[in-house]
Amino acid sequence: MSYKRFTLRMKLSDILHTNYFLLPIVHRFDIRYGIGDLSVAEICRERSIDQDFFIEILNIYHDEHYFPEAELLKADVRLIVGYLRKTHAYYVDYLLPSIDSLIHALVESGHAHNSTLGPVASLFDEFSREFRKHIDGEEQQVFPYALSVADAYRGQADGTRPPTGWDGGIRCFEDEHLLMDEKLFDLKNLLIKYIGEPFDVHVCNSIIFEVDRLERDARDHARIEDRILFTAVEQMEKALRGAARA
Amino acid sequence: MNGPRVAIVAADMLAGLGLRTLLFELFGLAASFFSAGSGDTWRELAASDHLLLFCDSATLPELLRRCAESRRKRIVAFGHGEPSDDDVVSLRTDVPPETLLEALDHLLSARLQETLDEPAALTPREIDVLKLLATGRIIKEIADLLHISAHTAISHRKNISEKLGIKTVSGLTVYATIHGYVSSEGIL
Repeated sequence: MSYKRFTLRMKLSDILHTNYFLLPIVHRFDIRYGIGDLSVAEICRERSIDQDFFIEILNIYHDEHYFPEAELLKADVRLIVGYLRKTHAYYVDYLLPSIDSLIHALVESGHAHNSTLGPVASLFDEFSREFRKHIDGEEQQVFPYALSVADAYRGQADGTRPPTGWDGGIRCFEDEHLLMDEKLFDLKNLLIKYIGEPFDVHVCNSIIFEVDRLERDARDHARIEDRILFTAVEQMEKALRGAARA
Repeated sequence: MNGPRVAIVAADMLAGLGLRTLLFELFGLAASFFSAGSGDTWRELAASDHLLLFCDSATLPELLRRCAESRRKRIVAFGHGEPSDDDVVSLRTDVPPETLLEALDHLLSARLQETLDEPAALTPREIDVLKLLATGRIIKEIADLLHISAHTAISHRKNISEKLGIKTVSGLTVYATIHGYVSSEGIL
């Protein structure tokens, strides 16, 4: 339980040693290993990363009770969408396949003598299918719409027309983040409380760790989406509607 | 739902965070803090399953309005004087520090033990409801089939979830399959 916030002057390596779960977050900004002793500000300058956005993303991920809504709302929508797309790629390309292969390994470790593992595997399959569909919907509909609203907003002075799909607004796309969360919790709980022998306990531990990581990451992702992206777009929608009426 | 199962919801940030520090420093309990002024608080609280929920007296009326009756006994109201609701345990803060700590200690040991010991066994009726849920029936169908009201069916559904710690229908279906209440062909 720490209330200490990361700052731009801190060495990024020190920050990462505080919390190794920040590594995938940092990678989403195309910062990889071999960062030496550079401070956050220096790395951001070197790589043209928006330093204020970057440091807030690290802080909110590190402390789930911290959420500087007003600060984050200052960020460019293109920046937010870019970050959210990278997190989607992390889930789809790495985390979901990784959990999937662990679950297969778990089922195999039961040597067909454990009928309790199959149902758990199908729960994850179901979750994975729904989650991918949800991500796909955001990539295909929500993000392009958000970007087009931002474009219209910036071009307002030139009289750019509002984008199509205008009537409902961004909140039309608000969805089932909460249910996703619950399924992941159920999965962990079913493993901990209800599965029977035999199975490989180390594989099972890894599944819990990875599912927990996904749950935490996805919760953070949903916070940024619901409270920052959607709010920012909603404010622009209102301003555009006001301008259209005037 | 994840991590600490003790939560604090308060309009007074200082009191809420102070209580959180106290619980952590003196009792080793990592409680989640929810600000009563934040829009997400009620949504997040509804989705979580806490053994104990501390709440300041200013927030109590709203919490009681939004809280399921079965969960009321988990609420501890803190502040000056006694709370108006009988279901709710009170923690008076207008007392000397040692009295407050003693009361807190007493309350935590009694309450946490009691809630941890809650029996998890499902009643035969709950098992009937679980089997039907696991085969894809919706609440109205379950109510019709078991000749009970929809309200009663919903209340069974809530109790099953609370006892098992499983919230989604998909999760309950897995539980029912693991325990042999249903097979892939349907109800056994």
